[in-house]
Amino acid sequence: MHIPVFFDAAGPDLHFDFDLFLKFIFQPTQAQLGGLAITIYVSVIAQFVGVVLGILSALAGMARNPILRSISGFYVWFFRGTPLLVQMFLIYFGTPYLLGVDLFPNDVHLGFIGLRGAILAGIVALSINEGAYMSEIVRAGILSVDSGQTEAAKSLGMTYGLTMRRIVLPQALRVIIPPLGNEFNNMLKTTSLMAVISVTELFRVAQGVYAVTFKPFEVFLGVAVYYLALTTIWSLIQSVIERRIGASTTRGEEVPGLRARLLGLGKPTGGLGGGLGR
Amino acid sequence: MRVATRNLARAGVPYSAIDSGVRWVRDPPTDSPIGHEETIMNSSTRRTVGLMAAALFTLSACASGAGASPSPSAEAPSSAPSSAPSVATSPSAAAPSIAVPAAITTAGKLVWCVDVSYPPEEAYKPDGTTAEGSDIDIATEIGKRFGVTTEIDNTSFTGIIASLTGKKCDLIISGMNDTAERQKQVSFVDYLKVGQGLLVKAGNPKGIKTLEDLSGKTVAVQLGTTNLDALTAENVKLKAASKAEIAIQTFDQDTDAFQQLALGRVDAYSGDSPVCAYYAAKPDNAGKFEVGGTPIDPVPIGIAIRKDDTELKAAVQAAMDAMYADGTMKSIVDKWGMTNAVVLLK
Repeated sequence: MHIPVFFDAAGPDLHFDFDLFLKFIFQPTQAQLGGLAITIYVSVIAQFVGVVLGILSALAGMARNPILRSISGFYVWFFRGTPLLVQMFLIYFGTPYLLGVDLFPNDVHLGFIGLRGAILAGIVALSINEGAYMSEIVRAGILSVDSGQTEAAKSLGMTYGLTMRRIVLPQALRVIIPPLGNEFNNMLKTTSLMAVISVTELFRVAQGVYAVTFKPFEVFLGVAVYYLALTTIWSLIQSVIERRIGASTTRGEEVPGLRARLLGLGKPTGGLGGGLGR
Repeated sequence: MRVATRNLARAGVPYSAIDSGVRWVRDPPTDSPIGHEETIMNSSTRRTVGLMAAALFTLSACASGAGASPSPSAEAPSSAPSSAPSVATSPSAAAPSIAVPAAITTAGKLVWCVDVSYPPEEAYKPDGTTAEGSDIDIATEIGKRFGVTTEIDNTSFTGIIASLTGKKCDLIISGMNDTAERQKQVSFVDYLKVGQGLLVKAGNPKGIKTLEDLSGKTVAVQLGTTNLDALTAENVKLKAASKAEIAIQTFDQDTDAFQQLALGRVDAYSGDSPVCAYYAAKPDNAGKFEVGGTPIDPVPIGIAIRKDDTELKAAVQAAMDAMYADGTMKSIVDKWGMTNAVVLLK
């Protein structure tokens, strides 16, 4: 079935191949499912490592030690200030020349897990880049916790580590979670950049289909549907998480549900400084 | 110049309008008064004006004896006779035997889509901005014979045919194999024959001589190439024979695929024979790599042209014949060290 998109006597022969489009979406090949799996697990791992790096970097950035502070400052400056695409090439193709050792050979064995070097390089690049952004988000979260809390903890004799774990970070979490969800939404899509280092994630698989069919619109719209499905499911999960986290701290206002989130409807939400009644 | 064209497109001018002779809107030929008028017109009138301009230039081209092909637009009334003599000088450099399409002469240039990552056929000079290579020389030579300038539009190979059919360029020269599949999309003027080759580490430690030898091995290749098609087809055969398949890694740039071999991450690199020969012969790589056989019979590579662009195809074919006749083709092939890696058509 061919549906003409528009007519232009001088233009190329443009028809929307609806069959190909539906087939791409509803009859995914083994390669497509493999690509979907890579997209999902790389996103999850990279986001997790990114959060850990972000917390470490934020704490280092707020430490009294000037060396720690400058390390954190340089890290955030460099990885937020350069394109992820460039970082990916640097890490995958550049590091063997810098170190004299190839960290990303064809097959990497980490304990009992074996994976392709390119995927590992992708995870490393995405994690490091994400860590730089998370660092700023975590810092903002920590700063949002009243300094009186830290002082009170100190006066009770709590150590720095205990204060952070028991007092500051749990309260900061409330501020960190919404942008964190946003970051993960971004991560799901940003994994597509790994295509340039030959990782056969969703987008790379689509490029492969396109290279054979010469049908860019059908194929890339099809892959867009896949990404939309992923981010929609994530929105759902995120709203559940936010409701849970917010349960003990909401100020009588509801965290926006999925419908409100997708359609931009519903009551305005109480964000930061949204109300005084604590 | 490329940027100017793209800006026009963003501003809502359809590419067809740009192609029909008003490409020089932002950069008018110095001797054309129409160019200046053009800048003040709104986009809805541009297509018409473009046609008028094309007709006008066709007239002038005929007058100058440049051999423009007969076209109904040549009967257009001479509404602006003053401009005719002023442009008559530029196209006269074209050889009289080549019927250059009026639109090309009007534009004053040929825009070529090239994926500039495939030495020695096309690659950037160390300055990073000037393209060079056998394909670039061939494109420039055709431009010279047309009496127009040559513009190289660096386009990713994956989307190169879409760029041509979408009128972002006039032709493609990019070491592209003339295949039946591609002929459904575009027409070709063949210019050489090349074989596909496999590049391996010096000494060929894994004994890779044919595609079949790649069973269970890893190979790097550029996405969207016939080399990849050959590997995929081989995998189907291997699977049918219940042998281990080839692990294929695809890259957007051919140079990245080669980099994988240089880093020892793959067992072989798959590319056209001239490219394999070039990588192996590069001074930096002396003694590091060798061509592990040429598994696929030579196939023609061609200049791709839009199917409806028959006039341009005929003109390019005429230029090609002339380049073969006077030895230009052979000297280009020799210049780029491809003498043993390609087969001349005549």
